[in-house]
Amino acid sequence: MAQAETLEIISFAAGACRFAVEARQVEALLSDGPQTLVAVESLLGLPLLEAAPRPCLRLGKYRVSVSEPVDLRSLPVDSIYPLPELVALRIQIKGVRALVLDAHGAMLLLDLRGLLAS
Amino acid sequence: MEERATTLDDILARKRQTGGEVVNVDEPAVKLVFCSLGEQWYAFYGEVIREVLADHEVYYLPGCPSSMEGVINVRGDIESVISLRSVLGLPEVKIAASSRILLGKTSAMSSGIRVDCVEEVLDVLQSAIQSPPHTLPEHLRPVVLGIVMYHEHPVHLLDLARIFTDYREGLC
Repeated sequence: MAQAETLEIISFAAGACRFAVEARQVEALLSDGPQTLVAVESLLGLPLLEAAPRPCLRLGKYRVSVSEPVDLRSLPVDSIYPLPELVALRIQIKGVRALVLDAHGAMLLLDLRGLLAS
Repeated sequence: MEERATTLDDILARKRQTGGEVVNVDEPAVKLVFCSLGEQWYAFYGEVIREVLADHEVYYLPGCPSSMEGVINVRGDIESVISLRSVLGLPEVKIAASSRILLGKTSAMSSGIRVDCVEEVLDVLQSAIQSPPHTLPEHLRPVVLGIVMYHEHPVHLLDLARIFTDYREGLC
């Protein structure tokens, strides 16, 4: 029996919402380093709710701080959907590539590298 | 040769046998989906409403306008859900058990539309749809195609394509 196709993602929280990024975009999960520190909320236009030190995702020359829980997991491709047209046109969060629906609700799949590059 | 005089009975019998073509004199009718928002009644053309959904889980999405409730999964198709109350400038209310999501689809796009209640799906004579009155509030004029009476209520027949277009352009 063929295994279901999956996508490796790293999920995290930001602004009390769930987000994820393709694992191949992230080089490491770390707490310190010489890279420029950027809060993911500032990239997404969300309020920064947490002042305590947070885990960071290393993407090239940046460290992007995110909120717990941070998980690396394989996501079934069946649970990934393109954004409905009205959502794609009206959503204020930048860099949203797709939508994930799972047992925990909805999660937005982001292009963090694209956001950092822009 | 002796000819029998034609009688009226003959003529009528012949006419009955040939039957004649049935001429359809019915007026054209359209299917309308009647819904309500509080005391206000509205309708959409049935051709743009694919389905009426009850008790469907709506997934909240961050970063969307407050008029967008979220998304729903309809047998693997993900659709947005917008509030008709917000679109028409009516105050939001708590979602009641009678609330429904109309799955609307035009040639350009599709979305769920939250209404307080779906009253009926009914065939209505085209001639029963009247032009919108001049007294129609300014904000409703672009989206109201006409007025139809239903159970003695005036019902605004809404233009779903225009609602979607205005929504995508951020006008509502």
